[in-house]
Amino acid sequence: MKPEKFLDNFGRSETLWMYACARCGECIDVCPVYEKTADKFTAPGFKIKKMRGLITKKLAPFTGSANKEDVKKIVKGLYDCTLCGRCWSVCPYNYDLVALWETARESAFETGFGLDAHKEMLEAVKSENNIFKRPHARRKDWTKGLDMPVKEKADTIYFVGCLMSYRGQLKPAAQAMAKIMNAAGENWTILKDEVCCGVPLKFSGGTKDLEELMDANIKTIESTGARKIVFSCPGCLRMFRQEYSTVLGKRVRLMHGTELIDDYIQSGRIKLKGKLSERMTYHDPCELSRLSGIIEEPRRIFANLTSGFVELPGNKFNVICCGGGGLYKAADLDNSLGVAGKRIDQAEEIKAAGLMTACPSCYMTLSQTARTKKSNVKVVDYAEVVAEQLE
Amino acid sequence: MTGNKEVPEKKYPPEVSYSAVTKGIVGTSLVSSAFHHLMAILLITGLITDLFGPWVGQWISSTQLFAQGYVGAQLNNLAGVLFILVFMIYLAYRGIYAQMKTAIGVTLFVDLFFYIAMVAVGLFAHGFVGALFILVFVIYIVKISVFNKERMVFTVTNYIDFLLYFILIITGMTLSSLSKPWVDLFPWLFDVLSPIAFYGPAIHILITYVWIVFSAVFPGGIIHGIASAYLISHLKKKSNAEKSRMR
Repeated sequence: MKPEKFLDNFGRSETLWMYACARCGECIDVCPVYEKTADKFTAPGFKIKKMRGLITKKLAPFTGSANKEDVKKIVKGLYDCTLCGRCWSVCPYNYDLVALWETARESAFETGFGLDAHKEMLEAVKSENNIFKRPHARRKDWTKGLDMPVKEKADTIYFVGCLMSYRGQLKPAAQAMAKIMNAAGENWTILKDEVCCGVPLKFSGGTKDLEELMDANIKTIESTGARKIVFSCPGCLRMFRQEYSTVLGKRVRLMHGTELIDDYIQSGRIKLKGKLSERMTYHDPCELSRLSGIIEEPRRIFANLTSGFVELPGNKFNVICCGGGGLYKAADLDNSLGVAGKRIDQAEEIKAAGLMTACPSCYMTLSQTARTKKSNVKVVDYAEVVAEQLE
Repeated sequence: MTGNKEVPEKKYPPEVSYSAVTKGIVGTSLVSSAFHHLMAILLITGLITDLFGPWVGQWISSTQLFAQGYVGAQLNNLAGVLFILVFMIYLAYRGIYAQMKTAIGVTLFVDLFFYIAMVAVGLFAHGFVGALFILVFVIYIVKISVFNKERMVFTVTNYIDFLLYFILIITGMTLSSLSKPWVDLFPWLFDVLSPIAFYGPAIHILITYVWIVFSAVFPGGIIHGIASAYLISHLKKKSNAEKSRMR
């Protein structure tokens, strides 16, 4: 471990932002992790204060050097974070705090302060191209029994992602997406050799092998000649929009499943049976609503899907995180599920029978919590509900 | 703790501009916004008053600090009178040319405007803004005492800053400006603070420069202000450049 090297990757902007922070504390009020843990090292403003202290030690004479224990505490706070962007949403300076946490995590990882669980995950990505260390050859297992040949050329690519490909609970959601695209007559394919998009590497800070993964995906994508890529995972989508788009350029449209299905419904490419009468609500994934701006599309789908739709408190841009983002579960499972508990409680309070979401990570966290709490609220993926209602 | 605070939707990744930041700061906390902006105005008007003071007849200036109270004040007054005399001659000289050439007339107007602005700053703005600042400062301190979130992110530097502000307020309230709204409102204040009447202006100026040095060395006011202004302009330029590249 090299505590004195921690935050050495901070450039001019990051360094100055440490000093520019107005110390208003707005971010502390809204942080879901701080609300749950009451540990001040998880409070965004406090982390900035502590990191500013380390930066000052690097810049100013007679201030000493970074101490290993201090760095450990700060790094723990950095990983005890869902990267939900709620702190950024209230920052009066509009400072990109999500990018700051990611950059700081990168430095933590490089200086040997990364989490063991993350290191194992990165090893898995390196050896099997997925975060679960499951055989790469089994990535397409979810397609078994479906009429879905992998095409050499197609207009649209469905980028499935690690969670949807390997998690048994989520395979029906991936299959539902396939069913919907088939129903719409889309000329689509999955990638012949899809690998992890790299977002877990970015979240963990271990970005050494990121380019290699991206290159592999980009080559396969370009060989299909596709002009549209559809994602079920908002994390993959944001990764593509922020990192891949510089290579793929504007010629490839990157969209979430909710946007695609909304397009299908609006243009009449798919028709839904009569509306469900069940009282349903929706948890906006932070990556999708706050960080990607996809807010109204899912709601337009729900308007066609159910007559019993009701908003969950803390929604749309101001959504409260489910606790499953930013690899927080690997850092502190109990509190991660504790954060999710609040969302399940809120769903119960509004008497929702079903809690829909549009993110595999949110689905996993919320459904696990609902089971633990023995809640009556059923967590479902929106695509499954749509597929069931197809005419 | 209010996890449900509602804020208007904005775009990610964020764009940074002066107007967005100003809106954000004002929207987040009026008290904090007023505190920071008034402090910036006081620093600027205070420095103008001090550095340009002798030229506009202002009696508060660093020279007074070095010449010890009364003597310094007289020197400043003399400097002010001399300046006004010279300036009057200058105005008359320029005025003759103004009749001959419009451009010079415009220059004369600008000069006059600048002179009036300087006098306004020196004689009135600093004192009145300072009087308002006292009210905001009190509310700000109460707010910080009540809400833990702000205390959590404050450093030792901030608390020393507050102590320096307190000294600046006490010395500035009755003595350090030609306009003294608080004393005019409550004349007994003058008697209360009369023991520091002689050294008040000198302490006020000295503490101002101590604060500038202090907050430039430690992460506080000046670094915070300069870092903010630099970053916002830097990121705005960066964002504009990216937009033009995309076009």
